[in-house]
Amino acid sequence: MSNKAFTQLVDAHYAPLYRFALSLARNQADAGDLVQQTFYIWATKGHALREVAKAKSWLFTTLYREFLRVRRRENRSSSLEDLSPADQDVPAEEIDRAAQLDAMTVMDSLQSVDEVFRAPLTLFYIEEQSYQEIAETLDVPIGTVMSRLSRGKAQLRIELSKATSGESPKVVAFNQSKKSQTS
Amino acid sequence: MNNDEAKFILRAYRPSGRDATDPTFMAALTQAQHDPMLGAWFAREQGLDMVVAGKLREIMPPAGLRERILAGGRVSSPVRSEVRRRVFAWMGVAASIIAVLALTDVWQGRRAVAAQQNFAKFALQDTLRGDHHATHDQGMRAVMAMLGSDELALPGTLPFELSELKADGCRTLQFAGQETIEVCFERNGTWYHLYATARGALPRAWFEDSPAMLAIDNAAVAVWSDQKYDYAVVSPQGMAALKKLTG
Repeated sequence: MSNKAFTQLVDAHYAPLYRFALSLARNQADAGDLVQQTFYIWATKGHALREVAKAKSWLFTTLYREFLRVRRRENRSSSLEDLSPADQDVPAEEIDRAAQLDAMTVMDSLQSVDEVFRAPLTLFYIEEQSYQEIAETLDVPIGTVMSRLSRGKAQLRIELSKATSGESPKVVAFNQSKKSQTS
Repeated sequence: MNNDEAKFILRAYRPSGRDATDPTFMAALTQAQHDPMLGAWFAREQGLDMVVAGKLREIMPPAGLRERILAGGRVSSPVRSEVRRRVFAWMGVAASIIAVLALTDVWQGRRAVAAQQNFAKFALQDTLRGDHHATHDQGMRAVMAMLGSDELALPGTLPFELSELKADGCRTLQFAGQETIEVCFERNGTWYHLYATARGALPRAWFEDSPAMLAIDNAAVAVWSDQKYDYAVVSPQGMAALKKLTG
C-alpha cells in the first residue's frame, strides 16, 4: 500500500476507531495503543483484504479482537452476561439533562456500562452501525446484538442519570481494573 | 406483539432513520404510530440516542496519535504491487460515491416508508369500504382463477399487464395520481384483494424479496414490488389469513 493510500485510510478511520477503543479500554493510553496496533496489523496483513470496501469493517473487527486478545492475556475475567437487565424508560427531562453534559462525561458514563454491552452500544452510537453490521463486527448473532443494545441502553441511562444528578460514575481504568481483580 | 416486545426491537432502531426500510422494524414502527404511549416512549428514546451519539462524536483523538500510526505503518508496510496501488486509488473515489449514495439512501428511505404506508392504508381503506366482487365482469374470471391457485406464489411477480386487466374490465381507481387496479380473489376459502399500480407511485422498490406486512385494526396488508409494479394484497380477516397466502 502506498504511503498516500495508507494516510488516507488512517485519516478516514482513526478518529472513530479511537472513540471505539476509548470506550473499550477506558483510558487514553490503552485506546491509543489499540488503534496503533490495529493499523499496524493492517499495514502487515490488511492489504490482503480482497474487498477493499470492507476496510472500515475490517478495522473495527480487528480492533475489537485485539482488545479481547489483550484482555485475555492479562487474565481479566468476564461473566457479565449473567447480570440482570436493568430496564427503565427515559423521562422527558432526562434528554435535556443529558444534552447539558460534556462529551467526556457521556463517554465516562458509557465506559461504566459493562463491557459486553459497551462494544455494541459504541458501534451503534459512534459508528451508527445497524444491528446486522454490529453482529458482523463483533461476530455474535443478531438476536444477541439486539438484546445487548436493549440492556446496554438501560445501563447507560442509569449511568447518565448518576452523571446528571452529580453522582460520579464508576470509571475504572483498564490497568487499574486488572490490578484490583488479580490482587 | 405487545409494547415490551416492540420496545425491545425499537431500541435497535438508529436515530437517523436509516433503518426505516428494514422490515424487522416495520411492525414495531406501525405499533408506535398507533399507540400514543409507545409513540411517546419511542420519541424520547430516539431523542436521548441522538444526544448521546452527538456527544460521543465530539471526542477527538489525542494529539500525535495520527503521526504515530502513520510512522508505524510506513515502517511495517510490505512491498506493494501496482495492482494494489490502483485498488487503493479507487478506494478514495468509491468512498466519495458511497458517502453520496448513503445520504441519498437516508432521504429516499424516509420517503419510501411514508409512501409504502400510504399505499397500504389506501388498499386497506378501499377494501374495508365494501364488497367489490360484483364490480368484476366475466373477463376477469381467468385472472381471479390464476390468483386463486396455489401454483402462483405470492408475493411475487405477477404474469399480467395492467392495461390488459383494465381492458378485461378490471376495477380501476386512483392512488397518488396513478391508475391502480383492484382484483378480488379467493384462495383456499379466504378472500383477498390485490391492488397493483405501475412503479412510480412509490419512490423505489426495496422490498422485492420479502413484503412489508402491516396490520391495522382487524385487517392486514402485505406490500411489495417487482420491476414494473407495486403491489398490495389485503386480507380483511387479519394477519393469520394473510400469512396463509404469503407463507
